[in-house]
Amino acid sequence: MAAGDGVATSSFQFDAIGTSWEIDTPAPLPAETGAEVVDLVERFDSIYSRFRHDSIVTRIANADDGGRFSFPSDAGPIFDLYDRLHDATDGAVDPLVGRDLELLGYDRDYTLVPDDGAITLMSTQRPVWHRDVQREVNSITTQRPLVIDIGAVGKGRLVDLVADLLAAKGLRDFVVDGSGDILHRGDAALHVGLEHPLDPDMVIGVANLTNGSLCASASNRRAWGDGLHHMLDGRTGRPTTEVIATWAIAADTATTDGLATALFFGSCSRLMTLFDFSFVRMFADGRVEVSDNFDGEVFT
Amino acid sequence: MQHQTRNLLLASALTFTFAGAAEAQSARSARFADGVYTATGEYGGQPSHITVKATLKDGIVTAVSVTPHAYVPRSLELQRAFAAAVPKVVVGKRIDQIRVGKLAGSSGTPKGFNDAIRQIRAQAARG
Repeated sequence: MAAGDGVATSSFQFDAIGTSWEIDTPAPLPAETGAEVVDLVERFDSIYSRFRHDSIVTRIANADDGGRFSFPSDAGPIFDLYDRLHDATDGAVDPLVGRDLELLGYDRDYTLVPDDGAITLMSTQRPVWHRDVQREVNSITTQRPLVIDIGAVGKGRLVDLVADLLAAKGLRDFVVDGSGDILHRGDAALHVGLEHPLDPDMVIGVANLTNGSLCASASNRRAWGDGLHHMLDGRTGRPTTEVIATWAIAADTATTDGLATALFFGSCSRLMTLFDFSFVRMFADGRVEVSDNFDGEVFT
Repeated sequence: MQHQTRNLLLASALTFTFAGAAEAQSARSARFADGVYTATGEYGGQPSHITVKATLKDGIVTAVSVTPHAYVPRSLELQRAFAAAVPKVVVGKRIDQIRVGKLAGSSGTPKGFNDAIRQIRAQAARG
């Protein structure tokens, strides 16, 4: 077995929520376990996806006068995390950027063309997570149509749920990789290459991951036009420009996922005091910032 | 300049997908015929669509576009204009020079994108 591969020899792959998933285990995953994983992911998507007509998120977006909407109990931790990230970034991380993403063209139909008139209108009445949404644990109350996008933590949370399912099956050594949201369990470290955001044949470093999660985010990962990508500042509704790629490492994948997004916005010192994590991030001019506690190597 | 930036970003994703076909660099030009290829990729259960047009020359993507075109003026200078104190410029290493169990970064393009590119690759291979 090659160093850095962890202990994986078998790989279970599937496509879900618009991306590729891979679960690496020492022995092949039983077929029924694989089916349960796929089912878990599908159920999650049916609740939260703003791309689906049947999701709660879509119902909220279509409620002209708002209303009270109950999510499954699992939503509580997701919204708790959003509260923390929203506060820690002074509002830059905001699940209500869903509407901004749509107006910029990243919508259900992949319009990919910005609606300039609506964007101007939106800027005068921008909804704010802590003001326009009242929440009691896993229920939220709205006053008008709001588009919730849990993209900053949703996939990470789903990776955690998949890992919980595998652990409940008695698995101890495995890797769950939801296309950049990676969770590792086991004693043998997994070496993760940090892909260069501007050159897919290069890596800018390697992270050592043991019993933790690593999430990567890059602004060009879902770019559909000049300066148009999915990493939006909740305060302006506009794509960010300074940071072009981030990698965060923390104990659970939901938090790590959210931090990988939060690292796109401003100084990291406040995040470092509020969350226990390490990180690497790269700026548009090619410079990188590496936290002191980062376990790995960055090629500078 | 603005056009170049956009194409660079998109081409990054595409180049990786083509490279992911596991052919050696030298074999690519023999396998893919020159030309302009268009394909529409599907995503999700709706389904949603995205159309990608790619121009191939000697097995390399020389131009690419997503239809319909999105275009908003934005200068590269603006992207570079920031004042954060950051220590070092990254150098990077080629992926084949290092040994890792996983990669994490920008290659995980959405399915619709990948689906369209897969079709383009098939068209080019036939040509």
